[in-house]
This record gives sequence, C-alpha cells and structure tokens, in this order.
Amino acid sequence: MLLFFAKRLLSLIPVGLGVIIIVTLMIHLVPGDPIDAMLGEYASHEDKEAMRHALSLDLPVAQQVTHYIKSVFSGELGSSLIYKRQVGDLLLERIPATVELALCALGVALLISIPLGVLSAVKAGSGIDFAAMSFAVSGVAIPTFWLGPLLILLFAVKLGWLPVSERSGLTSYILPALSMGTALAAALSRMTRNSMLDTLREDFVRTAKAKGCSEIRVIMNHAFRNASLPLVTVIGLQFGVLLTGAIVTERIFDWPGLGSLLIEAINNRDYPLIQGCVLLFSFSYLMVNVLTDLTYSWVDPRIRPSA
Amino acid sequence: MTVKGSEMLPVSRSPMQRMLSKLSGNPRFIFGLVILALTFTAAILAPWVAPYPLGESELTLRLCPPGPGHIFGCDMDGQDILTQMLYGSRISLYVAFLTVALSLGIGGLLGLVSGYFRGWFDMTLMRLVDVFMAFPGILLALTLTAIIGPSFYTVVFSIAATGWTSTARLVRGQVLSVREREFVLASRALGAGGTRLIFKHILPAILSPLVVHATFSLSGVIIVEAGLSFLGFGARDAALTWGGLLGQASQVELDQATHLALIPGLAIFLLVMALNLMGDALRDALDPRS
Repeated sequence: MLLFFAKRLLSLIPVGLGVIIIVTLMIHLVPGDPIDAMLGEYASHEDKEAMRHALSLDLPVAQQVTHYIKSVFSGELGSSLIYKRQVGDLLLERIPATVELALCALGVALLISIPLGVLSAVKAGSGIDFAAMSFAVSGVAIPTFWLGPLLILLFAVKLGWLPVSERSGLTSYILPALSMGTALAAALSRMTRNSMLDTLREDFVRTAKAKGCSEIRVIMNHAFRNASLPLVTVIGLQFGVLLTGAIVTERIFDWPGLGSLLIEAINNRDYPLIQGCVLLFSFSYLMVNVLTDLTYSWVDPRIRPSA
Repeated sequence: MTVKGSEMLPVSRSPMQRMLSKLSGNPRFIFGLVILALTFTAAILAPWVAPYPLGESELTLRLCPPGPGHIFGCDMDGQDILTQMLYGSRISLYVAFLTVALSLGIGGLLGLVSGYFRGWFDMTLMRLVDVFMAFPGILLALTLTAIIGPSFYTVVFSIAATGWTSTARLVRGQVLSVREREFVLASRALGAGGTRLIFKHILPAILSPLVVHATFSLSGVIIVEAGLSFLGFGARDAALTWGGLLGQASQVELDQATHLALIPGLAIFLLVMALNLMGDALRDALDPRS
C-alpha cells in the first residue's frame, strides 16, 4: 500500500515538471515582444530592459525554466505587474473563495445526484427514472455561462429571493454553487444509476433480500455502498471541470476567487500572474487526481496489486 | 411440411445495415439528427434567410425585446439577433468541425503510431499526454487564446491543442488491444508491413469508438468555444458567435436583456444536447454486446 502511494506520488514529478516548462514557455507565444505587449510600444528602453530582467526574459530559455522552478519552490512565483505584489501571496488570498465555491458546488451535486440516481435505479423504467435521466441528459448539456444568468434572472431579478452577486453571507453561495454544480450533478446521477443497476443484480444483494433484510437496508447498506465506488473516480475526474467551471462562474457572479483573478490577469496582460494562476489550477487538478487514485485504492483493495 | 429457406435462416445483414437500423429506430438519435440538420441548414442558408444584412445596426433599437420585425430582438448594438445567430451558427459549426478534425487527425495518428510501435516513442508521447491533460478543461485553451490574441484560427488551434490528448490516449489503448488479435497476426504472418497493418487492418477495427469519441468531442468543442466567446476571448475577426452574444448579456443589466441571455444560450444547449444524444445512440448501436 505504502509502495503504491509512493509510486503514485513520484509519478507526479515528471508531469509537474512538464507543466512548469509549458507555463514558463507560454510567454514566448505572445506575438512579437511580450515586453511591448505589457508596457506598450512607447515605453522607454530602460523600462523595457528592467522589465525583461525582472521577468528573466533576458536569460537563455533553459535558465528561465530553472529560474521559474526556483520561484515555484520559494512560493513567490514572481511579481504581479498590476498589483506590484508577489503572485504567490495574491493566489493565497484568492484560494479560499474558490475552494469554498467548489466545495459548495460539489455538495449541491452530491445532494441532487445521489438520491436521484439511487431512486431511478430502484424504480428503473418508471416515470421517476425517465424524469431523472432527462435531467441527466439536459444537465450535462447546459452551459454554466447560460445557467448562471438564467438563475440570476429568475431568483435574483424576478423573484428577488437571493442576492445577484458578490460573496456576502450564506445565501450568496446558493446561485453560484447551483450553476457550477448542475453539470456535475447530472453526470453523477447517471453514474449512480448505472452503478446501482449493476450492483442490484449482484448475488450478495439477492442473498441480503433472501435473509429478510428490509428494502431500504438492502438499498443503502448493501447496494449503495458498493455502487458508490465508481463515483469516487468520477468525482475526481470531474473536479477539473468544476475548477474551470469556477473561471466562468466567478466571472458571472463577480466572485473574488482564482478564476476572476485569472481573467483579470489576462485582461491586463499580467503574464506572471497568468502563469501563477494556470500553475495553481493544474497543480491542484493533479493533486486531486492523485488523491482520487489513493482514495479508490484505499476503499477498494482489489486495485492495489496491479499498481 | 416444407418451410421456405428464407423463413428458416435469419437474413444476414452487414454491420453497417444493422447499425443503421438500430439508429433509425432510436428516437434520441433522430431528435439529435434533426437539431443538427436544422443548425446546418441555418448555417448554409444564412445569407438568404437572414432578415437583415449582417452588421446592420440601428442604435435606437438597442436591446429591443423580441417583436415584429425582430423576432429574437436586438443586441446591445441594435443588431438583429436572429441574423447574428444565423451567421454565428456558421462559425460555431466551422470551429467545431475543424477543431475536431484537427485533434482527431493529430491525436489519432500519434495514438496509432504509439500503440503500434510502442517503445520509446510511446513512453514519451504518453508522458506528454499526461502533461497536457494536467491542464483541466478550458484552462489551456483560454490561456493560449488570451496570450496569442483572439482570432478564429487561434481559437481552433488552442482548443485542438487540448483536444488531441484524449484522442491519442483512446486510440493508443484500442490499438494495443487490437494489434494482438488473430486477424492482425495473420496478416502480419502473410507479410503485411507496418503502414498496411495500421491503416488497412487496425484503423478500421477501432473506428467505432473513434466515431463515438468524435461526436462527444464536437459537443465539447462547441461548449468550449462558446465559453471562450462568453469570456471575451472568442474569434473576434468574424461575426459574433452564439457564446459571444451570450457574453453581451453579462455586460448589461440582465433584466434589460432577458432575450439576449435566453436565446443564444438555448441554441447552444440544444445543439450540445443533440450531439450528446447522438453520441449515446451511436455508442449503443456500435456496441457489439447490445
């Protein structure tokens, strides 16, 4: 088990390194001179050279990469051009808002999908099943950038029940979490249903029924427990969707998280800040993937020997 | 008692015929196909059926609600939304098909070579795929378009830069399992070379999952493209896409622009759902176990 953990963690190193290299080299894709793009063509030569030096763009490419790796380990990640502060600090300030939102969205998704998935599997073929699966099909197709404005229109503008935007108080979490979590809820409902249908056909479920277990006990204790295994993987895989959903959702709801920081950085051509945001997004995605694998192998011992 | 031969033996049909008969009996597939066909028709006929010339704006009609003359209302520059949506469907479809073709071509070819020859190429390519896959969802496409500057081809390039990885991984996996099958071994024993084996024998055998993957990729690309346009990083050198129109709604007070938030979003939603339904139906129809 420990060996599996260690192997999985070690496998992160080359990928993480690759991500850092891509993030470092990204700036060279800017058409023309990135310094001109940041400062404008009419900036003085001294200013341009100072900026080039500050971003270590005057170094050979290989040294730029090692330079950036060093700054990743020190947590500084360079200095933001618009905020004149260290990128690392800026990211730290914005992390809580995004994590809270992502967790709320995950909560919403689980609250909707598990009862819906279990119910439609138990009542397979019924009207409830049809309705639940219609939700699953349409929920996956609803773009966050459409659902968000629709929710605002309905619940904030027309009905006036919930605040339009900004992060203030518990009620302000509801609409962004809903618009971010719906697609995940749809995907998870379908997964829960399929997984439950498979499990309900298993011998141990029949045995439990034959032994006289109550229906609800068979469903929850015997079937759902086993059916929930694949959900772990799906949640892990979908976390990336959730993360980038944050970029769009935060833009719609004026949410002060990492997504809106990234958009702000892009709009201001603040390359060090863009690099920092992209790096943090992909590192957290990588970490969640590893955690998913580890959780899965911890819950399901059959996975381990293959590692 | 004599029984006619044709009643005794099941009519033998080609896999293609079986698939088509399964698909034509599937209401979800038909629904998806109708929506896709309608979108295509709209895109092709845009110059003839659009009620106004593209780009014609009447500032006094800014954000006018749907009504006679402007069935879908006007956008923030006073342009007819129906006209823009008809022309916008061209770009959305063009971006989607071009991007998917690119990522299928590149990812498919790399996956084929990687799965067939294995060795160092496979190792390197799969690590590269891992690295590209570490950028979740629209992150890489968004950053690339933002850095290179939003234009039609940047959008296509950026989305394809993210999309080729899943194709490469899928194709490689399929090739790994197919290359050990008897018909491939037999043909190799008969002296077939690598290229012939890959394109004549292996590729046809893995087409089914590839077709399903392509269908889902199309819907994925449409959402990503619309998302980029919504955030303001879409193709700016062409007409406004559906996502771009939706993005306008977020720049004004929403209660003044209900139609602007509703209509383009509905179109994106329907097209994406149509493609997803078709993908589901294709997957069921192509699954030999079903």
